[in-house]
Formats: sequence, C-alpha cells, structure tokens
Amino acid sequence: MADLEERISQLLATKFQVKQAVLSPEKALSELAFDSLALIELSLVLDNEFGVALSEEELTGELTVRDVAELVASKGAAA
Amino acid sequence: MTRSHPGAMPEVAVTGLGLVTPAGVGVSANWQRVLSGEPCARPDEELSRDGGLVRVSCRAPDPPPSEAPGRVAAWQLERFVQLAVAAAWQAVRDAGLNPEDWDGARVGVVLGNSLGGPATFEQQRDVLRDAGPTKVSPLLVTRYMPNMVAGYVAIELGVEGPSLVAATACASGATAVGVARQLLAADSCDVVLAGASESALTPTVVTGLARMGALDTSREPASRPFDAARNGFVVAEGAGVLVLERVDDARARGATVRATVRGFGSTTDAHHATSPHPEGRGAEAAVRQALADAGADPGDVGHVNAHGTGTVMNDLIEGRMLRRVFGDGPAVTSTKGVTGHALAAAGAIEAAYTVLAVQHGAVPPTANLTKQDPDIELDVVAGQARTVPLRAAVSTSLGFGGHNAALVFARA
Repeated sequence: MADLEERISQLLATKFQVKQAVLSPEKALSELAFDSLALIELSLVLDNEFGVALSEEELTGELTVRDVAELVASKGAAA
Repeated sequence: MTRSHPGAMPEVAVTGLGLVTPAGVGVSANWQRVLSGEPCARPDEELSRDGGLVRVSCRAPDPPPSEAPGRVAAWQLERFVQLAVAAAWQAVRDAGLNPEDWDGARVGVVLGNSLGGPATFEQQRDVLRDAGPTKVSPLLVTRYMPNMVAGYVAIELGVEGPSLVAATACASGATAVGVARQLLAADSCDVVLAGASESALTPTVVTGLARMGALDTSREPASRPFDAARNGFVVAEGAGVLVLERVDDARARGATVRATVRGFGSTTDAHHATSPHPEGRGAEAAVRQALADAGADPGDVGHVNAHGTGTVMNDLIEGRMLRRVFGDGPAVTSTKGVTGHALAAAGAIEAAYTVLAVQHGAVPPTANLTKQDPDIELDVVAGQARTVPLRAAVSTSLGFGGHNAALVFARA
C-alpha cells in the first residue's frame, strides 16, 4: 500500500503539478485543488496507469491520497 | 503632431511589456535578439517526420513556472494559454502593478488568438476513435477554446473588468491593442492587459498552412521578408502583452511610460479569404486611418515595423502600399525575419518591438535580407540595427479574412 501511495503521489506531482511541499497521504484531493473536472481527469490517468475504472461517485474530492491508494488496491491493482 | 480631434481620445500609455517568443523570454532577451538580427528558425522534427512538408519552425522557449497569484495548475492550460499567462505576468510586473492590491473591476483584458488549442483537440479525437467516449478528457473543450486565453489570464491575475478575445487572424494582436485603447477612452476601465498569443504548431495545422502555399517549403527554408528570394513564411509561436493606461493615470502613480499609443486604424478588404487586395486598398486605408487618429503626417513617422511575412504577395503589396503612403522616408523592418510568423500573436509581439524602437531610438534589422526585391522601393533596414531618434512609429498587421490593423506609437 505504501508503494501504491508513493506511485499515486508521484502521478499527482508529475501529471498534475501538485507541489511536493503540500503533498501528503493525509491530504484530501479537494485540498490539492482538484475540482470536478480535474477529478475526472485523474480517473483517466489512474485507469491508464493501473487499469482500474473509478466512477465519478467513487473518486470524490473528499478522498485523501491514502484513500485513493486503498480504492485503487480494492479494484485489484498491485503496486 | 497635432490631434485632429482633440479631446476625443485620451493619451494612452504603454507602461508594461511582456514577451515569450522564439527570440526569448522577457523584454531584454527579445530586444537583444531582434537587434542582433539572428534568425530563430530551427529544424522541427515533429513537423517534418512522416514526410511532412514543413522542415523548420520558430518555437518559443518554455517560460519559467508562473509566479502569478492564481491557482490554476499548468497541466490544465494549453500551451497558447501558458505563454499568455507568462507574458501577462511579466507585463504587469514591468508596469509596477500588483494584482494583489489592484481594483480588479477596473482592469480589463483584451487578447488575440486565432487557432485555440488544436494539439489537445487532435489528440482527443484519436482517444475518442481508439478508446471510446468515456476516455475523452473533460478538459478537451476548455483547452481548445480560443477565449480561454483571456479567461485564464483573468483567473490568474484577478481581472474582473471587460474581457474580449480578438480573432482577426494575423491582425489579432494589433486589433487587441487598438480595442483596448478604446476601452480606456470609454472609461470602461483604468488598466488593460492587451496583446495576443498563439501556439498551434501541430503537424495538421502546419500542413494546412503549407497546402495554402503560405509557408516556405523549399530545401533551404528561411524567413526572408522583402528579399528577392523570399518564398513564404516560417511559422512560429509566442505571446506578447502590453499594459495600457491613460497617460494621466500612469504619471499620477509614477509609472514609467515606455511610449504612447497614439493612433489605431482598422479596416477590412472585403475581397478574398486569403489573398490581400491586389492594390493593398484596405491596408492603406488602415494606415491612413491610424495616422489621422494620431494627428500625424506621414513625415512624422520615422519607422515602420511592417507585417512583412516573407510571402511573395504580402511583401510586394504591402511594400508598394507603404511606399505610396510614406515615400522612402521611414526605416522599415520586418522582425519576422528573426521571429518567424506567430500568426495571431505577431501583431502584439511587433507592437511591443515598435514600442521598444520608439523608446530606445533603434530599428532592428530585417534578418536574412541579402538582396532586396527591386519592386519594393523602401528603406528596409538590413544587416545591422540602425540608431535613429523616433518621434513616432507604425506597426502594420494584415490577416486572412482581409483584416487590416495599424497602430501608431509615439515617444512619451
């Protein structure tokens, strides 16, 4: 799980330019400036990267980076 | 120069400039490069692979990450918007303004763009075809729309007054500066960020330009305005932004006035989609209108930054038009020899160069000019920059669709 968290954090930093200084597993996506459109974009990136399909109902701004890692793992992705 | 209609138009000052062009990032890098006359055209593998018709382009360096106070992450912004945000931020800082403490409702933004963000559009068309509709990015439309250049600059800098995007093709940047001045005259706002941006260097778009016959697709392509061997333009990208204020406001806050926007002319050929009027009728009317607006005689104008694209027809028709209006008086240049042709952004970038020419009393040379076309009877500056005190200078911009715009800048 820690590996998955790390890979997702890296995606947030490289693909979404989230600054390392504000990035932590406890941060909610909404705190990292993800609005509804950015969340859909994130779901596309996660699908490309891990082969998991997350719905708009599942991937919400309230989720923390750690929640996202758990969600991705629960869909069968391994780090 | 005396105004023919005093009181109709307040003096408008250029207090800030921002540039991200193939000639560099920032005002001093740009000015040094265009004064040197060193062309920016480079081989472009993205355009030339798969047997592409176009071998060279003029790409702009990536601007440093935005320090603007806005919060939109760069990944959401198409490149033409990123360049505009960087240029706008530079211009605002150059003007000594701080978006944190200005009254945003009294600040406007007028920017030119013509082609929007075709790179994302083309990529997402392939996603739709290959992966289906649920894989298409929700940001496709906002990355593609030309108006987002003004929308995002407004978000990033806190501009809450009038906003507008001018789409008069290659005249867009000049149109934007002229319209911005009118907003100040109408007291619609106190500050306007005026300029343009373009970044549409995709193989599809550039091939389309080549198929029109507009680009130099020869074995040794180069941007050669006014040269007898010119053979089409070299396509470029870039952004230029000018901060405009009424002169009285600028002086009251102690701002440096680089030059004043003294006159604007805007006409339309109503002739053909892409070919200029054979006698340059609309272009001539725009220049004469701008001179009348400025209360200037042709003899007051010491320098013309011409549209000068390097196509056979543009340079011949524009050259003859300038000769009719000005005789052989002004020092003429086309900075497109250095920068290439940044389409909608060209008029804004060249407006900024014309401001710098007036401010510093120097005219950049036309790069790649080795043998001037004998049918173009103008004093075209070649080889080295020329030092000459300037009271006033003109920048001309002519676009597909028959759009013509001319600006007169005067020494502050």
